[in-house]
Amino acid sequence: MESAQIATVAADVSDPRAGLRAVASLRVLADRLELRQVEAALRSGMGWQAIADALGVTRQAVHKKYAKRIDPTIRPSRRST
Amino acid sequence: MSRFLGMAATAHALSLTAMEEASRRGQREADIDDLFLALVVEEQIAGQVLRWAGITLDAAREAVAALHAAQLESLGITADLPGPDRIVFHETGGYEWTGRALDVFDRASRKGSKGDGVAVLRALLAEPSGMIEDLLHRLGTAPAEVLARLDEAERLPARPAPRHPASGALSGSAEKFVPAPVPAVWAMLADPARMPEWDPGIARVEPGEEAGLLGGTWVALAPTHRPDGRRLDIKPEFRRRRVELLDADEASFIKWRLSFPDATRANPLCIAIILEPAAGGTLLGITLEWQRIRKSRVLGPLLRPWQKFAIWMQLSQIGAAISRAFR
Repeated sequence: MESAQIATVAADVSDPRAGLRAVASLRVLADRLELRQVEAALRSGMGWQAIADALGVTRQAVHKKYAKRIDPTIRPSRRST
Repeated sequence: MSRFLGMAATAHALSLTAMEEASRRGQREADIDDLFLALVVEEQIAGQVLRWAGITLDAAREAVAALHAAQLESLGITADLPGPDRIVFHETGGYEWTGRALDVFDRASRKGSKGDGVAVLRALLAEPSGMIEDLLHRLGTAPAEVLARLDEAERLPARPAPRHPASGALSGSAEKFVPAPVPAVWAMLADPARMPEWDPGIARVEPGEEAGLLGGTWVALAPTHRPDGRRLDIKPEFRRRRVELLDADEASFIKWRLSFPDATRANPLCIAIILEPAAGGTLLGITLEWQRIRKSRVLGPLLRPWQKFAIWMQLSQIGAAISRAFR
């Protein structure tokens, strides 16, 4: 589906109850995607600061949220932790 | 067990299973759908009622996935994310409940409520988002039907508590539901080589006598590293365990004895497991008994509460590990 079409479907407010529940599923999806991308970033050698910059949050915020949640075999680069 | 301890035990068991289920999908927040999955494999009345309604763990997992997929599709999004598809809870951290899942526990533990699995299921059926109602419809039932079954089941006489092996012994018993048929569970429990799958204190059992040999003995080795690769500091005398098969009755009962041959003062542990077929899987009756080598008349009574807690924790860990091996 094209992005413009997605926006049209997502903006349909004819059934707000169903729409709100769908947004809740979207949040879950966004959280799963964020965790996967943070893990991929750390594996590729990016540091917490670079990840925070890309997400538009502070380094402390991203570190607090993900330091324990990531795959423990990933060793984040020391310079930027 | 007091109401408070019962509530704590229920919350602990449900939290563990729900967070394990969340970890399978690559999530670190357990929500009400994960709590529902945890109740499906709960060994008490709540789980039995859901399973009597024909809800299996596989069907419930598919329903959860289909519900989220349908809701995302209503927004024009198709996302088929490969999760780990295996439980990684014990290798990762930072797990939390969502606010609405905590609200369910809060309602289940209010004054007048038992705070057990039934109370949690009743609170879950009343949650306002409509997610659980949707899940039940996908599974061919409805909240009213589940509530009626719960009322019916609560009127039945309670099952007798599991038997303890001997009065005064350091022992404890618990039941655990495993979402797999008896032959599959038996095949794992009766094979010493597969002990690492259900005993977290064993990493490897050295090849020895053939599996299922009554009176047979094997040597088990403790894990040396954590899942993240860090070294585990275990005293040398506790690294080796002697494993003995004391008793076995094909597909219905097994009793193992574990001792530390290098630590002569350490108490041996007996693990007896009864297997019974149940709707959607197998019901296990697990009894742990520490065979005391030295008794202290002074310290013994003082340590009793701690020992009871330690046995409860160990029962909980072994039961959860057996169930996890089939999830």
